[in-house]
Parts: sequence; C-alpha cells; structure tokens
Amino acid sequence: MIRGFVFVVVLALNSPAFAHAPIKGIGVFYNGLLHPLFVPAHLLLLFGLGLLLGQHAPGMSRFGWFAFVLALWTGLLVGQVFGISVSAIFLLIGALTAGLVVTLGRPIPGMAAAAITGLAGVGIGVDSMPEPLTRKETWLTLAGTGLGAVLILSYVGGIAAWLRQPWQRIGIRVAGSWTAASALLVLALALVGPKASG
Amino acid sequence: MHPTKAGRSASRIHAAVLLAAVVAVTLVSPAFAHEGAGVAGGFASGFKHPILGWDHVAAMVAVGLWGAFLGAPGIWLLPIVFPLVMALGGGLGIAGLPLPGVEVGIAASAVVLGIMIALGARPPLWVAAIIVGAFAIFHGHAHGTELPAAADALAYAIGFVLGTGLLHLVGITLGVATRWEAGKVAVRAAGGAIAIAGLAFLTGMA
Repeated sequence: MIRGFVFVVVLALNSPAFAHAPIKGIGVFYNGLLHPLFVPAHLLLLFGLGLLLGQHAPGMSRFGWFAFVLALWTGLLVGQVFGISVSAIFLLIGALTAGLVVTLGRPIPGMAAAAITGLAGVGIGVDSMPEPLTRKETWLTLAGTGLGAVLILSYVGGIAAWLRQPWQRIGIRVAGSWTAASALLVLALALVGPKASG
Repeated sequence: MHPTKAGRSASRIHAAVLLAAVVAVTLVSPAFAHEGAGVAGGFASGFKHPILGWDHVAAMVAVGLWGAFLGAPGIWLLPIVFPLVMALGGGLGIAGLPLPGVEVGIAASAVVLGIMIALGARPPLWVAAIIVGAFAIFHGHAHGTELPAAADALAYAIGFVLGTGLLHLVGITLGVATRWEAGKVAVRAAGGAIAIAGLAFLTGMA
C-alpha cells in the first residue's frame, strides 16, 4: 500500500509530458488564457471539476469554486517562483476522482469538494509554466492562464447547475462517466503501459 | 519573337520572388499550440475508431436501443456502465494482458444485444448491466491495444469515449420510438438486424 502510494507520488512529481508551444501572433496574455483549452489533461480536469461543482450547486460550489481559484493562483505563483511541476498523472487522478463522484451523483461534503478542487487548482497552476519569456510576459501569460482556467470551470459549472431537468441531470452523470473513463485509460497507459514497464 | 533583355531580367526577378516565397512558406514554423496536430490527430483517430468499425457501431447502437427498451433507469445506467467498464478493459489491453477471442467477443456482443432487443427482453437491471459490462471489456481491450500508438493518448481516449457515447446516444434516440406500439416493432426489428449483422461479423461474412 505504502509502496504503491510512493510510486504514484514519484510519478506525479515527474516533469510534465506536454510541450508548451505558444500560438504565434495573439500575444502572451491570450496564449495564457487559451492554455488550459489546449492541454487535454487540464481541460479534462476542469470539465470534471465543473460538472462536480455544478451538479450539486450551490452547496458544493460555495466552497469548491473559491478553493479552486485560490489554489490555482497559488499554484501559478509557486510554480513560477520555485520552478516545481507535477506530471499529468496527478491531473488525471483528479479528473478520474471528479468524474467518478459526478457519475455516482451523490453529494459529497463541501469541504471534500474544496479539497478536490484545491488540489486540482494547485496541480493545474504549477503545470502551467510558460516557455522562457521576459518577466513581464511571463506574468501576463500566468494572469491569462489564471483567468482562462477559472472561466472554463465557471462556464462548465454554470451550465451544469443550470441543467435541472431529470434527463439533463442524467446527462451530467453520463458526461462524468466519460470523463472518468478517459482519465482511467490514460492512467492505465502511464502506469502499466509499454513505456511505464520499459 | 525573342524576349528583350529587360523582359528576361523581369522573368528572373519573378522566378526569384516565387522561389523565395516557396522557401519562406516551406520554412515557416506552423503556429500549432501544444503540438496541436498531435492533439487534433489523436482526438480524430480516437473518435473515428468506434465509428468506422461496423462491429463496434452495431454493438454501441444496440446498447442505447436496449437501454431505451428497458426504460428508466436502464436507459441511462447502461451508457454509464459501458464506458467505465470499457476503460477497465482498455487498461487490460494497454497492460498487454491477453484476452482470448476479442474479435469474437465484439461480434458476439452485437448478436446477444441484438437478440435481447429483438425479443424485447427486460431482465433485472443488474443482469443487463453485467451483460453489457462483460462485452464492454472486449471493446475496451480492442481500443486499449491501439492507445499506446496514438499521437496523443489522452486526446485519443477522449475522442473514442466521446465517439462511443455518441453511438449510444444514437441508439437511445432511435429507442425513443418504443413509446409507440409501431415504434416498438421497429426497434425490435432493428435488434434483429443487429443480431444478423453480428452473425455476419462472427462468421467472417462481413
């Protein structure tokens, strides 16, 4: 059990597997803003978290949304200042957790939601370091990412909260199962796939 | 008529400009974000995988049709169970664990699910979930073995889970016809057609 936990932690602290090539011509702020949309692991996690917060809004979103925003900005700051990062595995575990909770459809305590969104926020924050830029451009990019991730979470959460019909609530659970299934597959690839086993 | 000296000079300039333009276009770096081609390519190949395989299509539509036939909560439980168990099957494939008769299992899923729809079978929900889940393992294993080669694994996974889910949705939408008596007959006939198609896959005729 402990060895398994250590294994996951070691994998999670590896360097990120994503390239961070910017889109040319739109400026650093908008590059940062669009960054979460172009990293599948970030997008999947934000989608799952949005469903989670919206499914049981406002009870869950009251804590979860603020925890995410605070943790995201802390993560962006910590990642930039200390240069630490997390691997996609950490983010995928978050997406899997959020997807499964949404699929089950049972409300979880507000503090548990805050813990999930907080950890996810830190993970996305530290995994969003831009390519080497000038100091001003770096902070503009990070500001864009901080805003972009919050907007995606808010939009998905808002739409999920707005859908109140029984069949729409079922649709949210189906989307949660798709999120969990996608994350589970890539986690399997990372943990037991050909590259993981050498 | 021979070209003048000035004309030849202009032609050379035009050729040089054209060559420079071709070189510039060739050498300019594409503005893909996050190796967008990899992400887009991975998503597209994952999305197409269940849709372009007729054995997958038949089985996925059958899951949706049977769910609609079972009514609530089967209509939503089966499409939730399927992708999750399929992901577990995919994990087996990724890990390289052999699963005998994957293609037979996929074809058999169309036969069995088609027969269930054709008969209008309404077993207890847990039985239906086990039947669908068991076949999901075969479908997942087939997808999973192709995942390591994908351009972007996560984009591929999202693409094929989405493709699979949309096929379920097609089945559920068609299954709405079960509200009417004539629609029930049509859906059961569709189940029979799926079972026959499954037999064709199973015997190698299709």
